[in-house]
Amino acid sequence: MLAEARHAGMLARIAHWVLGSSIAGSVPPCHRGSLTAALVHSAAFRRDVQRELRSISSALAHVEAPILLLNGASYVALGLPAAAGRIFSDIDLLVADKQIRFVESELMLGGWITGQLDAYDDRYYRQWSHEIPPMTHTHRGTTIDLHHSLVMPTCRIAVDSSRMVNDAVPIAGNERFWRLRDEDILLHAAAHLLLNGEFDRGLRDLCDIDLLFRHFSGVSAEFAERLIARSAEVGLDAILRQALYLAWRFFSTPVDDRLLQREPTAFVKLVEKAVSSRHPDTRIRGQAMADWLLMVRELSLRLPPNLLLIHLVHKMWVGLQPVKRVQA
Amino acid sequence: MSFANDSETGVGIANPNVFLHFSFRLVDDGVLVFDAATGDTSLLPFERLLVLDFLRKRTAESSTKDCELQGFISRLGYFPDC
Amino acid sequence: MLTVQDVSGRDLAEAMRHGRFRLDIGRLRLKIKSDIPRFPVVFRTLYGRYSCAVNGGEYDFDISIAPPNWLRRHIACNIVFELSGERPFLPVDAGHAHALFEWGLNWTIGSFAHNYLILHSAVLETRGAGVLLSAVSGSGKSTLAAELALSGWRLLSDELALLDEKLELIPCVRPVSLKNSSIDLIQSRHPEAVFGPLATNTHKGSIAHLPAPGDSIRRGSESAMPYFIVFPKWIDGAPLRMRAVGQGQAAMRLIDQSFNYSTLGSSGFQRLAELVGSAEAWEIEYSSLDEARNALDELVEHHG
Repeated sequence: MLAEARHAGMLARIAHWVLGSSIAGSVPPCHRGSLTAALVHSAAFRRDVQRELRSISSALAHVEAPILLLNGASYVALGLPAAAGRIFSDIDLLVADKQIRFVESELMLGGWITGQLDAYDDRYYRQWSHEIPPMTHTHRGTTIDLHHSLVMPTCRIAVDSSRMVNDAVPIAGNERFWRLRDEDILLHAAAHLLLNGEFDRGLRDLCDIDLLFRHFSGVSAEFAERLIARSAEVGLDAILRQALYLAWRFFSTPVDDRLLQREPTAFVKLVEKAVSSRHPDTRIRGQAMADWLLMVRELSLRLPPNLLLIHLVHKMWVGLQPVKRVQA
Repeated sequence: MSFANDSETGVGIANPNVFLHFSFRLVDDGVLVFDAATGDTSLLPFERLLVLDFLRKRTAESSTKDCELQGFISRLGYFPDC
Repeated sequence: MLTVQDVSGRDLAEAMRHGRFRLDIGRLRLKIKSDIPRFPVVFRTLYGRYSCAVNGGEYDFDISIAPPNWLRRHIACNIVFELSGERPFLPVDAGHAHALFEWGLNWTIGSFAHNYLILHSAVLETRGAGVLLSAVSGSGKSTLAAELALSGWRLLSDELALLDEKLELIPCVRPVSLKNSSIDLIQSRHPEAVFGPLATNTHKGSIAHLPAPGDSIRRGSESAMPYFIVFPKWIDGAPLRMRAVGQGQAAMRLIDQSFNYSTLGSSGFQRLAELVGSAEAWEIEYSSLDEARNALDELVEHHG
């Protein structure tokens, strides 16, 4: 099970729960080492993220517009339970569309540069995506994903991303960075999981949703009400229900009956398969097919039909090229 | 600004805007310093002025005064007061 | 207690193919899965005396050595190292499976065993004193470690020093990997030593592995307290020279040769400072293995 957890990116999270709980004493000594090691690693990661955020903060000292933190970086900055044991590869920032050029150039002065992309991918990012190509720091190798919208602007499910962004507030104690409202953080996590098409961190993302829901519900009794109302306001009501259903299936999230979707759709069933263990020894049958179908579905939501075919062909072509990896 | 002194090793220098935390270890060929904010480790010669210089550079962004740094170095207990 | 050489060749291959094989290396238990026919054969020569299991069970790391796909299996004869499904390295020739296993295991421990401070160092013990041999690759550290191991010193590790929070050196006894001319040198000095197969044309040249001495394997769970930190440097034709190294300098040099010092943050600093505070550091320059070995023997004898 620990091997599956390692593969799913969940080992550190499990370590936090187990070692911080009453069953900590009954962990067999042979596994204690792995769990401790995972905790050490995630503590180091958290320090690195905080260091990186300080760096970004100085690089963007001249930017007056709000800089919104999203996903993992925001969980760390806000000290949410979802930050414990969570490892992620990029820092997600969002700024207004008009500010993108300026922020991009300030980041470049600070040492982050856009990686080498072929002309196709570059155009794809800038025209169709809700983010610009990832920027990597030349010395540290850390990556920033700079977004101008919470979801793809061309997404066929109409999501009122700008409303969520406009309601953002500065982070208490670290006013350089801004945060979404509680409900919006959860809604964004749900959209991120279900509208993104890639599920190798699916279980971890779903676990985020479970942790966020539990935490915010614990902080305010009216959270669930506000969540339902908000989801309708921004067009994510169906997505929210689907995400909460899945969280309930995997993590027994204490979701109100009103929010639980009784009959899972075909889409939700596919996601269930994709999110289950992806370890080569224990992955379930039909997962590869589910992955592919979900990818196609996601693309079809985002791209007009003529571009969809071109994009799929390009992706398959890229998949056949030799992959760069670390040399032994 | 606050200082916390641990006679053997750790010392913290905290500031609302600039996070600094150092750990010191006296060794036979100098003073090892760990800077928690950057993760860097340095070996400084056993020379009061050089340690002061090092701290000055690192606390440049905060409003730490020289006398505070001097006091802090004295409290480490390694250096004879002059 | 079942050892690898107690298991028949066929049973070993079966167990590896079905993912039921477990290997004990000191405090670590590995799941090793492989369907490469030659791998279990070579594995036996290098790990014959190690305790193992062939009917599944718990493990710390799940390792797989297999071709990444059909094409590579049948046409290119390439294999990859996989840990929990992740593949950190480019594929290598199937004939180098045993070498890939060793690199992969070094990477695994170096990348994940953060409950220890991990230094790039050979670790041996004699007369109750733990001795680290810390040096950059190519300075002859492994050759010296092999020489000491074959001269009665206990081998704890040839590559990775694992220092726990109690400041004990935890063994991870594995074959000593030797390169190019070192192989001939050690073989000529110790004709009775049996090496694993030679892997030629690897990205590091020719490599062969010397199985750890039986006594080191038998005592593979016994930790050692660090008494000496040695920085060895082989220089062709050089006379023996030994120089004491300051604690601070030793610390800075060890940081350069550490795998996870920065991951451990301030507790890494504390542990390292304790280490240099309690162990003597020496630098040794030599060209003769005999002289180096005698010098180290004397060092431990008189300073321990």
